[in-house]
Amino acid sequence: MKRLLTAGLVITTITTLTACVAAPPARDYSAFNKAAPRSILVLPVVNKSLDVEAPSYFLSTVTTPFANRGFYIFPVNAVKSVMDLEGMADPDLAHRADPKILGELFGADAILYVTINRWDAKYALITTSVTVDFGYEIKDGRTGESLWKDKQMMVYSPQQNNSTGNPMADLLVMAVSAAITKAKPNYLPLTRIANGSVSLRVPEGPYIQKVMN
Amino acid sequence: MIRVLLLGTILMVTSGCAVQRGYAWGSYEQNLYDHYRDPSKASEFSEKMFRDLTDAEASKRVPPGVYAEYGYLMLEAGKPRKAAYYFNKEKTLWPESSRFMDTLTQAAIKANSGQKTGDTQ
Repeated sequence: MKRLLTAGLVITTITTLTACVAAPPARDYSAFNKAAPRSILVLPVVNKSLDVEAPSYFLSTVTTPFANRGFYIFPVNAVKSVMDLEGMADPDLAHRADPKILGELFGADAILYVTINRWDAKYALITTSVTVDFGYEIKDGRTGESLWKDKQMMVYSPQQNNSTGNPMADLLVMAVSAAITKAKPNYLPLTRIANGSVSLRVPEGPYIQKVMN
Repeated sequence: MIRVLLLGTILMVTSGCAVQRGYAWGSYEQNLYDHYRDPSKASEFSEKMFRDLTDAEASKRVPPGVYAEYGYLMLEAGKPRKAAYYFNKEKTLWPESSRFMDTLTQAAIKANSGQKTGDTQ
């Protein structure tokens, strides 16, 4: 009995241990790890798409995943307002500014630059899908050096895929949901998924939150 | 042997490998998006932020930036003393914010001296 209990505990311990081990990084993170930033300043988003709402969706959902990844994320709304006051309301201008000056101004270890390259909504009769392409770059706020770069492309359909088992009923449900979606689209889940998966490809920060979202 | 393993397992589980609750974000993302969509409802936004902040404080899981966001909303609402109070809270909880919070606090002090009657805490 005692032996069995020991064996059981050994297995539990091993499982607990292995569950904690993160997958080894496949990319070169040496510059990032050397800089070891604790804080990230998110700049206003450069929007190359025609969708004027895209930056709002983006900015609303960038803090949570990157903060959960372990970084101090500067308050995006306060930062945006201050930049507006400082004459940097134009994201292009902010992106072209010297990262060292921005780093100094806010006391930020690192700066996150995001460009929305593509945000295309295709409105078909029944289904709506959005194709997005986001470019991300983190620069050192002290040296201006590029520390990390990534891309996120995805196709997102706001419709729920809950089949009733009746094709005619399904079609009706989809048509109704497409109509609702067209009336008031909600793309927060889209940017949430994009930012969430990208944040996991950044090395962990000092305040890493081990939670399953 | 059993005791050691049991202790180890308990330690690992409780130390947060598997069970850690993370930050109390509340409806931060939705509230921020609603604010961008309709900036005219600034007081509604700050009320929602305050509710989330109160919950986060109760659970001691205040996320980075939230005190500062709320403080900034207070500054915009013409309550610089309240703003400075929250900037200081942000700075205490997150030393990484020090420089930015000092700048904002200076702005709050300046705004307060410009007012004849300061707001109350």
